[in-house]
Amino acid sequence: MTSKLSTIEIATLILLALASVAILAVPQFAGLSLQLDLSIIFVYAILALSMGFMWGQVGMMSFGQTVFFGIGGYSYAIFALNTGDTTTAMLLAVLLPMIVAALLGYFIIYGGINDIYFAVITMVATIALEKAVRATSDPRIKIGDVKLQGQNGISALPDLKVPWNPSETLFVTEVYYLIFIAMLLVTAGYSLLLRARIGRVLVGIRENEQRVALLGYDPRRYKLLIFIISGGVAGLAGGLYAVWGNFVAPEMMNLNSSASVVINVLVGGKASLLGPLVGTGIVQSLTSWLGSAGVGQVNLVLGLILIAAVQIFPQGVVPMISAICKWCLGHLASVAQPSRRTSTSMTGEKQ
Amino acid sequence: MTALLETRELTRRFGGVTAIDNVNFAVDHKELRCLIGSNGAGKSTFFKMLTAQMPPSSGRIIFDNRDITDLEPSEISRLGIGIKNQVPDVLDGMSVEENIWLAARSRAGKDGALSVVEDTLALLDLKTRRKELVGNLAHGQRQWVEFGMVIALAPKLALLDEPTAGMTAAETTRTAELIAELNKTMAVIVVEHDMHFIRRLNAFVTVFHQGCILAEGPMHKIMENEEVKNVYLGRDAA
Amino acid sequence: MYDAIIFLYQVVFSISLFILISTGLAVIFGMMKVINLAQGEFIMLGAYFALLGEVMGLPFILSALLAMIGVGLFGVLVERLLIRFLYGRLTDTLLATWGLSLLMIGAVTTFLGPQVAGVSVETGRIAVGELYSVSVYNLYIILVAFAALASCWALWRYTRFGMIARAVMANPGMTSALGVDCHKYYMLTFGIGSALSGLAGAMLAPIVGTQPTMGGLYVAQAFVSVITGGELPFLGTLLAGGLFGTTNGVLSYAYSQVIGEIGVFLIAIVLLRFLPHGMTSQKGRAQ
Repeated sequence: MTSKLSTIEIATLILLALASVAILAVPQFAGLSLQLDLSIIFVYAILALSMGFMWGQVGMMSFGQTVFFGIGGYSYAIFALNTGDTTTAMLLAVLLPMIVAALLGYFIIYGGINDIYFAVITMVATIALEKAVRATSDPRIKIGDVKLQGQNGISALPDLKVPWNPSETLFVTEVYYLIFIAMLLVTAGYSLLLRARIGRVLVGIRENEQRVALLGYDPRRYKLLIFIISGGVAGLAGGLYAVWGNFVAPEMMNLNSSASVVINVLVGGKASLLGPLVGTGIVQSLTSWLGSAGVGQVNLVLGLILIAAVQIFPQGVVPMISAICKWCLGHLASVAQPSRRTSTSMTGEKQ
Repeated sequence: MTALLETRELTRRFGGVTAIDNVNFAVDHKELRCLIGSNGAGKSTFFKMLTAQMPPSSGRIIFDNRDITDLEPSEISRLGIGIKNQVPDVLDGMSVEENIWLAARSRAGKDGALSVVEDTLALLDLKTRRKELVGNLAHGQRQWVEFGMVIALAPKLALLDEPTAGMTAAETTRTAELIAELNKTMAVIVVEHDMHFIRRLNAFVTVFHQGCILAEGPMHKIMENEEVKNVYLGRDAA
Repeated sequence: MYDAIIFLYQVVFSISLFILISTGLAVIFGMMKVINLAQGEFIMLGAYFALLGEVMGLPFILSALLAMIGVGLFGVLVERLLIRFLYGRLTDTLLATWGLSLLMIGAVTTFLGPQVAGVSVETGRIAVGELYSVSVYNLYIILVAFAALASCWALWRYTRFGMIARAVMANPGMTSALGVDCHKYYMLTFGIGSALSGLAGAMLAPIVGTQPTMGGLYVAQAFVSVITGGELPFLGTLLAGGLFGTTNGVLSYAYSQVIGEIGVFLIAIVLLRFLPHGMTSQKGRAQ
């Protein structure tokens, strides 16, 4: 069911286009350091979106997206180091997490585990996986020729090669563009998904799962599908992370990383697609500014933000901004036409 | 002709309480049936079992020559049973149009669904409200939306659990007309308390009482049945 | 023969560990339905209290007691300042307690440092056969774990406090209409759950040391136990502890600690697939 874009949506798109132009122009004016900082924000934004879409649109709280983030990163690392084929490595970074998501998701979703329990089980999954990977420090543990090296992680990963010209590799600025475009494509992809029938059914499941089932859609199938897709997206973020930093480590999957994802989504707001992106920008900037002060402080602040978000701004930043903008637009409209005391909607009803 | 829907020894217990007790019920293709009974007689529980919202303790349910007792709600829906639940069971955060579209789209293709939506909106006089969020509508209108969803499903059997609850007299009359219209293409079972409404439908009646079928027959016979009068109709029979 | 005894002991010890770390959460989540993601940090706090006790020169028993009281009071404070605004809001409770967990880890790291500190207890070892010996302290852990669980069960089942507390949890509106101060019971229940986790932390300190991040694995295991246990909190914890303790014990013995932990998690997922409401569930099956 397609609907024409509203004024707010058009305005948002224009703003986004402008922001994108600005972001694309950054390498002209700023050094590599800023590009690196922004790149990692985009990576986390993609990860946040994989969690935020499921939470905000479908009502599924997955606290274990970091499982797929980690598997994606490690898949790239292991395959690329073994074969040098970075293109396939990147594809595996998306595919392998999807397979794991299918298995894990089948058991959890078809087992009827919902709501809070879903959150807790997925959280437990990421804790368990991190523990498992950290325990691989024995040098005999390897996949192919690549040692997993436990908590040290795997470093010196090869740069991403251009798929159609493998002698060329992507350097910082090219990686910056790549990650940014990936973020845009993922967002656009989710947006299209939302407009398609699948997306409407998913939103319906959020609204009233039983009713959707009574209409003939098996909710478990749809939930599993979006869980798999989100696993792939998180895996993509993991692969991009590996490309960005040329290393992967179990920290990608620990409780803190998992918490960051949730906080990023909460702060930005889960109801919109932009929320997780904006939230990540805000929180990541804040924590990297604090990060120089010490890990303890980071946890302290993240903890406070979480508590505050729950009590004070549960909807997140984006809806607040959106409400302010709507108020401004409405105000501007009435200022421009002071004789019209009431505005009319498209259906002719007074508001 | 075999019945469209049949239950055999259908039973449901909740701990020590037997809500549905060995019910043998049947309804024919394109039949209109009313289910009446006092509160707690088991009507809603019965409907819930028919649509797999609740599993039976024992017994079988046969629909269109197929045993549907162990199927999932979505499978049963696709086989052709639509239900309007007692408490409005709609998608509050989505528009009227979208609610009906989701129902229509589960049966029809893209274009087919759009025309079903238009027809349904027209039938229920909801065209002016099509873009509104269902959660913002009045109770009676939300009932209409759910009604519309069932219509859009084009089921073989429509289960309507108190479709006129909270409706005005005009809306109730309209509902009776709609049910008659629906009955031309599908079987309909209506649970109701409103006696005038039931009389207007002029259908075969099944009386539930404490989980059992107390009596079955045409409306006027039921009204004269002493047992039914004692147990349920009481002074309303007049 | 001694092989068998040692194996059995390891399994029982593993079960005790699960029960020890889960009992506090069984009270808070099982009885109150509050998802407290900071439960692991309550355990951590208990361990640090034991450390404090040692620094103060207290005998270990008093340190453990200190941990119970200290964390219990802390729990009451948390309930009054944070949890009580969020009753009924499950997601918000989850998020807020997650925030609390991060806060606690951050605070301890900042003020006490991230390093591991040990707590020493002088108990001895008992010989088993000629080759093996078993630490007496571990036997105390087994004792305390089962005693704590049994005491909770008895408290909630047989005392007047327990009866009223159960009534409050089941139907606070009605119970307060009967004149009971529900807030007091929420506070006390949460406090007891916290105290139990504090005790767990204190008992664990001599084995694993104290570290700001030690709570992470415990909260995972505790939740898995309580959720898999199902609706009856204490029987459920016993059953789940038994299942996971045995799994962990067997797998750790045969392979390694890590395999043991992963095995627990996998069994939990499979079990929940078939018994979604846990082992002691009473819904979903028509009788």
